[in-house]
Amino acid sequence: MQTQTQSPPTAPVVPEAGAHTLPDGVPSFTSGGPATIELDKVSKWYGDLVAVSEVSFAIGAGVTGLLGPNGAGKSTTLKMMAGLLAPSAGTIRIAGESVRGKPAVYRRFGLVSETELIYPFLSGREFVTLNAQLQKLPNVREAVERAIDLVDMQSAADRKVGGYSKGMRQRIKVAGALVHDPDIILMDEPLNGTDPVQRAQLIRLIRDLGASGKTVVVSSHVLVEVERFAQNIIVIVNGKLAAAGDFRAIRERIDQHDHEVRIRASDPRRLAATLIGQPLVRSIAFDAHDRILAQTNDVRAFYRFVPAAAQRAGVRLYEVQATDESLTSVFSYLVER
Amino acid sequence: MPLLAITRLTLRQFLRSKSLLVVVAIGFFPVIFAILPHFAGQELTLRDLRRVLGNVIYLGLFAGTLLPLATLVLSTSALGDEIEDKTLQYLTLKPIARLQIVFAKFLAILIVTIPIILAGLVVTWAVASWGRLDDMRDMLPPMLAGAVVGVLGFGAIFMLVSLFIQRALLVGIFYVFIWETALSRYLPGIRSFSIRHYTQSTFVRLLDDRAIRLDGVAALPTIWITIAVIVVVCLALATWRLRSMNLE
Repeated sequence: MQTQTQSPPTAPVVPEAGAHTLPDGVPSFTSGGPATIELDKVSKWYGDLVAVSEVSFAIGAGVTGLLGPNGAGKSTTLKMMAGLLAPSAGTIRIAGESVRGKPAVYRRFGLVSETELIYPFLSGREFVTLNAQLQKLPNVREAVERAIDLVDMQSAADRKVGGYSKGMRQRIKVAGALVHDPDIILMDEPLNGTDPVQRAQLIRLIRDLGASGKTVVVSSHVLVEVERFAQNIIVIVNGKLAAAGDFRAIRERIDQHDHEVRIRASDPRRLAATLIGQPLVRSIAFDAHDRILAQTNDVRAFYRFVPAAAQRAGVRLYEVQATDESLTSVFSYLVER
Repeated sequence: MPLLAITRLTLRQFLRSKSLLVVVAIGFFPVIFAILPHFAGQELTLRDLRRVLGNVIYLGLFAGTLLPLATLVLSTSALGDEIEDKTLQYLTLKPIARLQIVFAKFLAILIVTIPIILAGLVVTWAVASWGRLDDMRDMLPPMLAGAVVGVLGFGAIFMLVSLFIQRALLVGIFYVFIWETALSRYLPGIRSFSIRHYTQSTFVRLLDDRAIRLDGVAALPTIWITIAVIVVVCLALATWRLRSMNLE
């Protein structure tokens, strides 16, 4: 397990009195400053099923990625951090305080949850306004307009949320979570369902939030996404802390393992013919839906290569994505190491 | 401001839901029974008409079955639907006391349910009393007062249940038919633990008509205190539950 401290970002969040210090050896991304979020041997189980097992880490200002395959325990960890779930064992402190039973903490707190549903009968602006009113902001209108601007949703803000695309719902949820300008922000798979332009905007926003000294934790199951905004990564696999540290170091370890990438294209056979024989492609196969399943030993170079190869072959690309099986395999490899 | 915001939100949830139509249908269902006396072969005496409206429709049908069913629908959905839809976290992850959330939801239940129930009763009374409105006028205020007592009690209990049980609506229906309709009617010991009894007692006490009687009728101060205690205890338990429950 690797622990690394980054150079200090601007204006770190200072926890209130009663801040706790975790034992030595626990992954700590606090830039040498105080921790905003501390998990100490946190576990969550449901009967015999262990969702999270003795996870410990400390996070300070900046963006931290919470990485792991689907079902690894990322959402459960985030929900415990937000106070939605009580840990079965261990302690969680946000700015030195336990969250559960202390609503006042939520003045400093914003959560973008994975839940799809937002009140469908509200417009985007009404939803953000509701969040602002519940935060008891003095100037609701100004805060709402600022938050909607942040996610670039002005043009659709007066439409009903029920008619939004998944990407628009994600963005308005982000606006709702940021309307009170919190200094601790938790985001559960915020890029899910967003198109490339929306994704780029959200990634820029996440980076800006981290750079402005806020503590931002973003979960994702896609490493190449996380490394675009997170200085530090915490990898959770099967409910356990598998790795933690600087994303470059973790990426190097992950890159040593083969990835399986699924490609959906207008003419998969022609594209496959272009890919076969490339040094970074280990094997090519097709699944039952005539999608290409490519094994590669350098997923980053492969992601760069495929669009160019498709253009040369005159093939339209619809999807290029690592398979879930591949991700699980890669993350499991980290645990084995 | 948060209290009003949550109440407004809940009112909008209610007004767009199909459950509201169910509440309206149940609330106006007694009108059908109010029409029937007009189709009797011969005109009922005033005494018989008052018995039909008071004993059969209000005490028999409305207080024990229709009122709890109508209240049940919105009371269980106010917080229950938010839990099921996973939208409750938009309210709980805010710096507001849990009591405010619970109270705002309860307020919304009352704001929607009471007018519908009262409107149904007014129409029922008017239809049953048609042609003799002056002679029947004294029955209306006790009917309305009893209904308000019932909505307060049933609303608080059913909202609380929805925080503990996922299928609160089904459990509530079971409770209405087994406890309120069957057991409390025939077992005197259970009577004082049923909201139905306090609804009926309010009506009988305020009406004070010898033709309309109820066994073991509760005194008005007892009714007010009992219902107030039920509401306070249920809201307190709901607040505690909201504070301690896990939201997946």
